[in-house]
Amino acid sequence: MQNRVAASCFFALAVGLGASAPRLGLMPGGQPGPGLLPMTLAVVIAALAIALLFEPATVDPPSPVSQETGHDPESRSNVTKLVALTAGGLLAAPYIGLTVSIAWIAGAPLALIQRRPVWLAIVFGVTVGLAIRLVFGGLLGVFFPIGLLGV
Amino acid sequence: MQTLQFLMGGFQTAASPENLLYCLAGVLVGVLVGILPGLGPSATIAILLPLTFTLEPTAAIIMLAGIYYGSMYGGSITSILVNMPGEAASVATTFDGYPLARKGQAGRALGLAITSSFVGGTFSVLALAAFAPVLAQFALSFGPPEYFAVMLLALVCLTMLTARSVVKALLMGATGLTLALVGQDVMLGSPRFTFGSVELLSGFDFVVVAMGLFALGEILSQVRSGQYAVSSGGQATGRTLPTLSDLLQTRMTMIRGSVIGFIVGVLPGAGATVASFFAYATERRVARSKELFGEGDIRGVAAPEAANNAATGGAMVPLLTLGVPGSAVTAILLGALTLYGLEPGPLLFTSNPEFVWAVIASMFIGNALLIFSNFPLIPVFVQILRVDYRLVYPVILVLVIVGVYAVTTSYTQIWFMLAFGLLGLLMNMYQYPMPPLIVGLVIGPMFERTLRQSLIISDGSAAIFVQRPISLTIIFGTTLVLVVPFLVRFLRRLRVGKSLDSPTASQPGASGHTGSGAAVHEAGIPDLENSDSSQPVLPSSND
Repeated sequence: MQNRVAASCFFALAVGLGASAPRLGLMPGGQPGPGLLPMTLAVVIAALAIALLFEPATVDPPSPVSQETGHDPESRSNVTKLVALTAGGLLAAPYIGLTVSIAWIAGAPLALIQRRPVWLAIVFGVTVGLAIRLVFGGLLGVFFPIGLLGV
Repeated sequence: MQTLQFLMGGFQTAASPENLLYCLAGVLVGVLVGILPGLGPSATIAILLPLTFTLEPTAAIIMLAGIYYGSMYGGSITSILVNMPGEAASVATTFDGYPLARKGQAGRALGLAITSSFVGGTFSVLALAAFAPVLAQFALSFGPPEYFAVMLLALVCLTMLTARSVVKALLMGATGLTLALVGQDVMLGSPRFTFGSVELLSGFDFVVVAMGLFALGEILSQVRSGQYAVSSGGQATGRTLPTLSDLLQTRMTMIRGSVIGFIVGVLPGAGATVASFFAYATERRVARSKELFGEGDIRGVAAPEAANNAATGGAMVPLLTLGVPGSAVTAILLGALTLYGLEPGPLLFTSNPEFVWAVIASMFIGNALLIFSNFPLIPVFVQILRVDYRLVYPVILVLVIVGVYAVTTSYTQIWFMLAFGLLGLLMNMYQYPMPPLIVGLVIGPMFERTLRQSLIISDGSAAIFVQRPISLTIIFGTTLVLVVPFLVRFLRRLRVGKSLDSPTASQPGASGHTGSGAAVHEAGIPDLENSDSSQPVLPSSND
């Protein structure tokens, strides 16, 4: 099933490349154009996508360590939570400023994924945020956009 | 003689206090990276790239190269102490390193690992200094068809050797080349696959892709698997300085491992992991007394450690002389060189000799720093094993985000990085190898440019690739690399089929391995794929 889904995605990519290539120009005036490599890749990817259908499906097996320490559905849902928390922090960055956003991205997983005390998450987030600001902003001169709070 | 003069000049540059400091920092960070499971040298170099932008290119590459070979040694610490290799290249070290630690000889194993790493690293740098200028001189005669053929060979070797599934690896290589198409056309400058986005006009930034795939992808994979919850307790190491009898017993092992490591390292795609397995298997084969292998034989530690460090020097040969990376780490180093305004290739030896020789000389110095700093620091490194990774990954996550912002000053690029991180997670889950993708992305523009230049020279005839002797030889080699494994697999199936038909054939486990790791299994080393809980935890081999 997974190989069929992947093969479909790759086949769609190949079709997209193949459809765009002639518009870019394959061999204009007998010379190789910008569409030549995309067309070649379209053919190669399409052929490999078909070959993928005949491959045995493989998923990474749970390692002995993860079996011992909790390779469970909760661990998997933690990925969704982590991505959501990070995306939330990034979406809010233009309004709260990059430093606060970073503090959120560093601290929130501790409280909301690892279920540690909120005070610890806040201390950790603020410390990491300030340290990053100091290194990148202070030492390397990276401009940190400020938010509505002026931070 | 001229090489020696250049090398002396390189030593003068590399031995400046500033460069020494960056070299030491790189080596120590590399060792730390090797200790922390999951975060490989590729991810670390990608994360630290923004921090090096304020440095001189020479200092920056000295530091990044230090991370590369430092991580090779760092991985052996966890391999020996807790049977958990920090890098794929250190897996072979667990076979005898961990049994030695269980016998209470962890310090002896660690000391030998450092010494072997030093011997391997120093040998490979000597070989690099000897062979790289010769190869660079030879490569000066290369035209676009030869370069195209070399890049094709590198990509094909990488796909054939890094993954169990050749189809998936080839798909990743093709996807990397496809990603490299985004942006402006390499010859005409016209926009291509940008979908009207200004952000995409300059293509996908290689730092964004590398950080997303390697760093964020790895974090997400570890959070998904729950592996970050591992709390590894360090243990007492005892005496770490190797005895004279240990050194005498392993002297030929180290030399053999170094030679194997360097040669395998030069080959695109093979890298430190294959080198360490190959060296271990060779040592086991040539040893007169084999009974201690797997039970705690010091030769089983010395061989892979000498080989994986020697492979790092070998991997620098195609990078510096041809500008063609053979692995994910060297692809990232190539990207870094380009970002610093340097163009790796044969001309680098003539246009920027002070840079090239300073990097080579720094690898000598780095190896010496590695041995002198690590003996006293082993107890400290052991304590680092106690660090809770759950506190480390949020820090890496924000480092990645700020790193991308520092390079691009764009929130959109952070979103791209997040997307590549999710792609990296999927690739890890479904075992799509990352090295072919990143190498495809990095060499993509040069691959297309040389392809089109070749076709312009030949008025559109692809025959140019087989009409010139050097490119013909390389194309022939590429075809062999592609065809031989399938042929071998076919013949093996035929043989297995015949033996199953015969009445005496009832041995279990007769089926051949279909993956590229088959050679490793045939070499007679412990079966990794069917490992039980006593076998080491395999890290991702994406480096």
